[in-house]
Amino acid sequence: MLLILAAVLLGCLLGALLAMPPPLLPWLDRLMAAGLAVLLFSMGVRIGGNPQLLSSLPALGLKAAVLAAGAVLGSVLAAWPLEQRRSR
Amino acid sequence: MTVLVVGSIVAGIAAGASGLLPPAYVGRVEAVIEGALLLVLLLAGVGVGRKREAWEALRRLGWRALLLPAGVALFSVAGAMVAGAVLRMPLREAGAVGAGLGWYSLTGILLTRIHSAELGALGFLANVARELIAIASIPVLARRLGGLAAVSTGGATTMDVTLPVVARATRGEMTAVALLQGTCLTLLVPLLLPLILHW
Repeated sequence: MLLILAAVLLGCLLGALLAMPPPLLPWLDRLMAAGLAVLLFSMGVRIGGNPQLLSSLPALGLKAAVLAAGAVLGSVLAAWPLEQRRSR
Repeated sequence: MTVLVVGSIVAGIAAGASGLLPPAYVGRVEAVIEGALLLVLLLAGVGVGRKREAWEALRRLGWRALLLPAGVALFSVAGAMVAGAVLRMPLREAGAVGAGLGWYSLTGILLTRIHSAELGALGFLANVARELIAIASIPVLARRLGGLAAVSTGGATTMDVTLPVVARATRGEMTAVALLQGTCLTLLVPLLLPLILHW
């Protein structure tokens, strides 16, 4: 957990303090996309290697969509009073 | 982005189920996940550090700027708990999934590590779904309800993936607000999620 926070904060510091040469920026994006692909692929491998989990995936997908809808609706509800105050 | 996300995970599941991957990789998959996560987080941090507007907007708006991310965090957890009650699942678990705030990679890993692979998979999928719902609904909400409601749907993802969507849908008006919300919530997820699960 500390390692996760440390990585984000170290990145913030690096981003704020180092002036990145512009030609480097697209490569940072590509590196992040590659890292994300490796991360997600490996997480998939762990799910695929677990037959019990795999067979529960269709039911899991519906549950996931319902939970996501709940979180999104809650968020819009939270923004609503701020939105009203802003438009007045 | 969506192609990368969905493609990688589906390819990984298929490859994992096939049993054809080299054992040297499968045996070290946890270490690979850990390493890739730290790399992605470091690079995400660099992205925030470079965008100085985020910190300037914070200074200008003062404490009121924090109302949106605070409300979004609280009501995401509450909304997921209501959905969890409908699904008849434990409220702490549903709330923890909602506390992922759209950051699917971290949610999947955290829940797997501190709870179970099953809840990790559910948390991962639910937060992928949240990001997809946000991408699809931001332009509509920006027109119908307003910019703040549009930004709120993205949760922690308004720092990176959904930021360009917000910028275009609100003609740049909400970019700083989105960046601020995404930054605050990104820092909050690793603290909030275990708290909800273990309270």
